[in-house]
Amino acid sequence: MNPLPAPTSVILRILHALGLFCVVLFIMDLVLPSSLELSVFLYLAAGLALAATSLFWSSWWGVVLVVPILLYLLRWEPRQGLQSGMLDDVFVTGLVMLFLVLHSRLTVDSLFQKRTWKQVRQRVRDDIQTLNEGQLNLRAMIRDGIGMIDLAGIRCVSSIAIAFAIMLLVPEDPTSVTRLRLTPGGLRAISIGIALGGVVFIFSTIIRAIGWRRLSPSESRIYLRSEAISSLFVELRSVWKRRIKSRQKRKP
Amino acid sequence: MVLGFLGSIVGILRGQDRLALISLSILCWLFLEWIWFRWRIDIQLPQLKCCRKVNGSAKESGVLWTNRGYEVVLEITGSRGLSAIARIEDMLAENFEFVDGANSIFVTHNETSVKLTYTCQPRGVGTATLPGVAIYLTDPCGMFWHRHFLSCQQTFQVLTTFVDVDEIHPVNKRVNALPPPGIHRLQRAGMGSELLELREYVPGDPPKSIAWKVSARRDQLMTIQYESEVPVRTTLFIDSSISTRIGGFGARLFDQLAFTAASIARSALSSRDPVGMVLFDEHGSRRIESGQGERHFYRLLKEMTAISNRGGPPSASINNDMIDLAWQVASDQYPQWLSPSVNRVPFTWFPILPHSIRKWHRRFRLAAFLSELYNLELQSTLELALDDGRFATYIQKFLIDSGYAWLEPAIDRRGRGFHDCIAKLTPLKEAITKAVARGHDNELFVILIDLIDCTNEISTLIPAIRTALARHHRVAVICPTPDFRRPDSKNLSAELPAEERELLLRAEQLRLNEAADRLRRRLSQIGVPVTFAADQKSIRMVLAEADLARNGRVTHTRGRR
Repeated sequence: MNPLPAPTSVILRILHALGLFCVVLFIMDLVLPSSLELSVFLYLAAGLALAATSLFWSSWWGVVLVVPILLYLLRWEPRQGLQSGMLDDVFVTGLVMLFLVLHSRLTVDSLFQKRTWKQVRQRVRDDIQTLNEGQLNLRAMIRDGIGMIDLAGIRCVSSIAIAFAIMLLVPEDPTSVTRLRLTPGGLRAISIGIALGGVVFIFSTIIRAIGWRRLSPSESRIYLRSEAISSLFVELRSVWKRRIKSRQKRKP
Repeated sequence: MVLGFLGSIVGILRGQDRLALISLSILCWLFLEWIWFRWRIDIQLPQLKCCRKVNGSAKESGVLWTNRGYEVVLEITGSRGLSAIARIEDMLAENFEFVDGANSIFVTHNETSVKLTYTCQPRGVGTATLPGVAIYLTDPCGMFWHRHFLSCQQTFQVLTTFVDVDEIHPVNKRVNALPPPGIHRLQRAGMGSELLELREYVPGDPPKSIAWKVSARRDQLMTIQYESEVPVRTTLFIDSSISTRIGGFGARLFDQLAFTAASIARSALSSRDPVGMVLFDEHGSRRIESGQGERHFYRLLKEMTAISNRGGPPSASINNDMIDLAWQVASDQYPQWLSPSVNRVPFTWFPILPHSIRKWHRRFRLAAFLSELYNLELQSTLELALDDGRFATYIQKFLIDSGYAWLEPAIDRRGRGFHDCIAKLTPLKEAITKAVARGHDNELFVILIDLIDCTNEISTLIPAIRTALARHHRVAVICPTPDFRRPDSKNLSAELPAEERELLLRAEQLRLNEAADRLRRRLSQIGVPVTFAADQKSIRMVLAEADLARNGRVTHTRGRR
């Protein structure tokens, strides 16, 4: 069961999704060169994603918002080496990731802190009053903003740095065709895949080991019980079925 | 993750580095979030500690009263604190009704301790358990979630409440000397202080009983006789058969009966009259000797609570509703025991359909869970998974132990032999006969029984009641109704309802009215007052009978109430 509370109104869902896609369009217009076909593509993508978000609100759908960007890059990004526009790529990646993290975080926050219209109105009134009285505490506002990003922001920046480092450390090898009969892209994909797979394997093994070590005696007994039965399941099942049948026959 | 994975591969293969970088960043981000989330699950959650105080007491067991509000304060602390975002919910058993406050809270910022305060009240007699706290953990971006159960079990015995009914006492003075509390007049010859009669002397009468002045006036020996002074014992015969224990807490017939019995016992004990109890069901009866005082009163209440928790009906065949309920309860209270990584299901070729596969997996996991919970043998897991009857028995046991009442649709109220009247009335008949044999004169027998569906079998009980009446005891019958209302044809409107459900309800009401009328007629023929719906009016009727017994009069009350 997902602990995230579901929103109450469909209209609210659609309004929320519309607002978000305005932001997406704005970012994409900033980042990407504008043209007629691009605009058509953007609006189509936005429409599709809007429908998706309206349908699948209760589950996490932040990545759905990135689909239009990735599709666009897949279709229109020129094939070029990393060295050609390194900083531009990092900037765009940072922007997309920031949007993704912020959007996910705000969605979760808004779902957890559901407010009634009355509460929202009161909050706005209080804010206006604070502004009028000149008691606006900028430092507190910034602290709250940073607090909201906290570790999630750090993890986001780290992930960009790691991805960038991987791309830099595993460059395309032009000699791969002659040496290994592999395209440079293919060799690079395999190398990165092996490296990432190794890291994931090590971490998951450690975490699984920690998890197993923390099992309670009862959980361990249930595991042993179910494993023991699984190994002899076919034989035991036939024996027990026969026993149950004979027991039922004995009953009047 | 799929998006990031595909984007990375395509981007790297096609040399589209911007696409590859964004996708790879998404993958790395998901991985880092997962690592951090797992750290919270494996390191942060196990160090959390829970302390709950119910009415200021943190003890693991205690006593509560039905329909009284209790303040619950729950505090969760941890050396490493609890990081956002989480929802904490104190799980309430079925017997608890939420009254005020909030039993769940969202943790949106990192906290070292979380406190919850709310008010709840027990609904019905029995056991109420507060099993623990459910912690729903999610990462700040809402991608992963985990449910953790923090055990913090407190078990309470729930005793029934009672009311002090205003008794109507006569204002005129009817006795010359007030007897001590708990002692009442009986119009039989005895050693009391009130005059019973003057009669002619019979050889063998003690000389000190001769009324000399009257003898002189009449010129023949006359003997003076005084009334007896006896205690008025009240014996409560309480029906604890399965038909009275089906339904949700607070809505069972047994809850009505316990409330009425407790109120009558309280009233009798406050007059210092001894009160005894006989609890009977289909399998027999259990007698609690009559006694006096607060301690005895609490003993009676605890006996009623104990009988309310006792076993259930014969094992019914298993159905999906029962399995679903058991699965839900087990997932709430023992989520780790049902985890697929711990509780493995053996591979089978059949069933093939996804729905059937899911059902089989659930059943096997529940079987393994139940056999571990009840410490059964290894092979019992398979037996439970394959044998419907045994599985149903253990599921019922588990539900009872988890504080669930016998509920529809798990158990049908009608049509499965839960109204085995002969089986129920036979122990009652024997119990009344024994009580008459053991008792003295002038006792009050209050029979609290679900008789509505037993009007045809009432003749089984009549001889025992006649015996009690012949021995100058008073008998009153209280019969609870499922809807807490008195059956009365005046309550029904002349117009027929349009909706099907309303029609069915009306038909049921008509059936109840007819059955109640028959019962009333049958019992009033032998001079036994009967009342329906266990409420204050019924208690007053019993107290009126008790009052008559205390005054030593022999006038019968009217049978129709």
